[in-house]
Amino acid sequence: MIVPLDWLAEYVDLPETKDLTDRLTMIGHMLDKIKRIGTDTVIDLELRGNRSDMFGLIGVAREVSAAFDRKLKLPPIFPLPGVDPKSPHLEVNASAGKLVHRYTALRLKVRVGPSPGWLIKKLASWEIPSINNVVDITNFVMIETGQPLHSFDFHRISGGKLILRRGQENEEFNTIQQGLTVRLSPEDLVISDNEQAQALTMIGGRFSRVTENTSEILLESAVYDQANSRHSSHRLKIYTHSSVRHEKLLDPGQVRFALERALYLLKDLADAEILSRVSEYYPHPEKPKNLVFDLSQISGLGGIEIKLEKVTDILNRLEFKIGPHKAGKLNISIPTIRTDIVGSADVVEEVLRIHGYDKIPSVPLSGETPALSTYPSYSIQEKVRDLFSSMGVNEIISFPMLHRESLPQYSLHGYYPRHVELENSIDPQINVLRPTLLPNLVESAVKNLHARQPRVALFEIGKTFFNTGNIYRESLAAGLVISGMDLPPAWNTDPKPMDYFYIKGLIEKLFFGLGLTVIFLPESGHPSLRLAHCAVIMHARTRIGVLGQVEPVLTDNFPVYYADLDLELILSLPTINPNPYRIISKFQPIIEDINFDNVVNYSSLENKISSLSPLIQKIEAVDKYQHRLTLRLTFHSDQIQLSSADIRPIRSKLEKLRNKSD
Amino acid sequence: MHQKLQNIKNEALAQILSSEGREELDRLRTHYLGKKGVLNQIAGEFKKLDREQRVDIGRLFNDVKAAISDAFNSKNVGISGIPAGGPATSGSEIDVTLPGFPHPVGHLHPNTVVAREINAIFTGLGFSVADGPELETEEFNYTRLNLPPDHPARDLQDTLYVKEPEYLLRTHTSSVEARILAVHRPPYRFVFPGKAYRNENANASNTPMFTQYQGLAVGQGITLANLKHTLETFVTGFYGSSAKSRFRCKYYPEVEPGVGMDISCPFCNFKGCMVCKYRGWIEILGAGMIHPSMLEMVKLDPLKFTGFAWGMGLDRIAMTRYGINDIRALFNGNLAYI
Repeated sequence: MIVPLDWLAEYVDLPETKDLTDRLTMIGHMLDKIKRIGTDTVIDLELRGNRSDMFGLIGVAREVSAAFDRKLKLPPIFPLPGVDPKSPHLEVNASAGKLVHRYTALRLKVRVGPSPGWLIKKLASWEIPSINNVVDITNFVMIETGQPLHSFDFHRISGGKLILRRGQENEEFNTIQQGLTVRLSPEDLVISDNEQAQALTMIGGRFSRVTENTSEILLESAVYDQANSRHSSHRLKIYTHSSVRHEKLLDPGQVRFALERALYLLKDLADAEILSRVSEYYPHPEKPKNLVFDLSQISGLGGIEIKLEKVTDILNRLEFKIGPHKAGKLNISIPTIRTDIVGSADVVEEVLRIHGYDKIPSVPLSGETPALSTYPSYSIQEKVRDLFSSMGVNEIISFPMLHRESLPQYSLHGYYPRHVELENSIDPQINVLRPTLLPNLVESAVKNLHARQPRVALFEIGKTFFNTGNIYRESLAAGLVISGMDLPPAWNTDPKPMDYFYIKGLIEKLFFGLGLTVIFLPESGHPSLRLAHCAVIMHARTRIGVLGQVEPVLTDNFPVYYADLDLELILSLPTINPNPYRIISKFQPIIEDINFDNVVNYSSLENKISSLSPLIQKIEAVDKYQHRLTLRLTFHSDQIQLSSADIRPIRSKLEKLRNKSD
Repeated sequence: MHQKLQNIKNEALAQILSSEGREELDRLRTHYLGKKGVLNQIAGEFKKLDREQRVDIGRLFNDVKAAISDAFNSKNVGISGIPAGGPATSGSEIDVTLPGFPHPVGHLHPNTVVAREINAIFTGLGFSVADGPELETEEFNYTRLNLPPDHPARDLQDTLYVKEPEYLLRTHTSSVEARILAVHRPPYRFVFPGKAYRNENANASNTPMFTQYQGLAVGQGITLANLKHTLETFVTGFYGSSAKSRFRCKYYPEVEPGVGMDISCPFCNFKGCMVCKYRGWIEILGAGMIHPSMLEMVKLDPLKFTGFAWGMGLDRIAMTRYGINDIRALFNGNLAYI
């Protein structure tokens, strides 16, 4: 809100500018900018969405008067004539009735001419150009009161009557702004005569604008349905000083004050003569709201005790009317201009802000300490972050919106459930919510490889989105991508390219850390991963992820490996202690190597071996030559010192197994 | 021959593992791997085999020899903790200033680091960490947050809707607050870092996704004074003990009374600079007492239960911490920035 201080000073005596702006900031109207124009200082206050009264300078003056306990000086007015029950100049169609809270108009004879210098100067501080005395007065009064007004050339209103109705589909309307023509719809409220639209809620019409040829006007002021006004303004893309005010919850009580103020000025500056009584539509006149305010609410919400006298003083300064109080309860009447005040909590804020938020003490939370209950869905993310970062993998965060071409590019249709599309993304091409973290991670990896990073290892934790059976669902996922060398070149390293088994090792370590036993089975086909270079990660019978080499066409032929984990599912699985300890057997183990030929599936061989005897404590694949595997078996017992004789029966079973696999 | 080799290996491994002391180990090494050792003796017998057998047995022989050597080496480590003949025992000096082994280091995202730092402060005050869905309903994103259907914040232009009525990408993490209110019974204290979305093109200061950090406490007897203490603890914990903060009145639909919290400008310390627009203060968060109508919506009596809530942007804090001046850098997966 632009507030020229010379102008504001006409309604209230002002303190020093710094005191003024500091205090306004503290009571809810933050100083945004301050500038000097000639000798005048203009402050710009941040507007509050709920304070329609602060869209007028008198409203600002009212705050200053309350904050500094100074008298408010309202400007002179000229009383309106009585209401004509026949309402000769106004008719509201039933279909538009709900969109209008109050519409008040009267007919005046005027002398249109230039405005005096002081008026032109005041409008200039708001960057509003001077048109003529009549138009300037309506603009001036809007800035003073926050209540928009409009004047029509009466002789341009066919039938001499304004008709409030809904627009027709595609109805054309020429606004007062030269060249700005819009097409209306039934959603728009139109102020019309019996021939054509003459004004909208946020802007007047060109045809009935007041010019030097105008001799009579219809002066109006109104309060409309705020949501409808806002929607109209957005739909038609017309933003005016009127539209920003009509989007707020205005006080219909201000309509009369604004008209009376305009009337005074019109009589003074345009020799106005009243030609009609008031035509008015005001089906539900506003009544002052009353509230029983429990004083204990102040300490209950504010944590500060404020004496009754202080409370009543503050509320009086804010123009609340205070009735008799009984047993800690006050009967208060809310000024109608304060459309933001509804309940007791609002009154508490009023008292506190004038008393001073800086007086609120600082007190630690007390009482029952709630049990710590961090969501497992959050804890698991933190665990995965710790584990991956400890393995030298870097975290990224990316946008979940994908280019629609990503789906066919990664052939993601079919493998994942149906994707979710955005209705109104700014770039209509980027309108798909990712069903997997794969595209973003792979693209980041390739970008880093092109930037000659020798070792690329990235992970992301984030939501993926699906549409299953028309039910929108999101899932928590983790993705891991690696490419390049396992180590940087250095005097003591022997860098090797990272491959499928490198990423598999990371995943194995991750699940060890998460306390989950998993197995890897050949995957028959993931659309973005190479056939026969790709596996599913299983826990018992649950598929919890997939890993493999990304199709080289998707990676500019860089060898890139990717793993995808469903954290949502993983979260639901029973875990074992990820940090298992046991006392080492005091007996020595027996360690033997054994070769197996033609091994095509290591994990099934491993299963067969370990089921041979509980004495086989460890199986390690220590060497591989083509299809020949050298396994190192550790035989160990907690009870006895094993001897060759104890192992002999296992050896013969192993021998049988070996002959079968040969 | 096959069986013989296998037996030699098993015997050797068992003896090596059960050996005690370096002397015994050295003796075993000579016995198996020495010039006249068991393995060399058996190698002498290969001549008797035909060619095919020789290849097969030769391969097994190599395996056995390697396994035994490995066992010696690892047993050596087991005894002394240092590999025999390694640099430490070689007697010659090492250049201790040479770079160590370059174990790869994984970096966490700046937002993660900052969130963790803040989590640590609030968990110290008895807060737990919560989260919630990013694909939300209008009910939890708006209606339950005191934003009725005609509220300007619900305008289509700011919200990313999905192609199904009522569903949207949450526009703030206050939706998690609405869900906590709906699920938990007081008293409780939660913080919730998370992503939110808006319908905007990406530029240096705005992106369609951004990160918020919010929190709330609900119980009996909770007041603005508790909010002040909680947030002051955060400010001094995060920005340092010399950081000043202040409460001023501010409007948010979800709270009443509403609070804007400023901290002393860390760039000029009240002297006035471009960053704080010569105010000396920088706004860091919005807060207030949870609106009574939101408590009523979850059947809590506002006269009995009260609560406070606050929210702030996390991206800006992370950018300041890491000296990043383009918000897109946080989300484009470019390692150079990390």
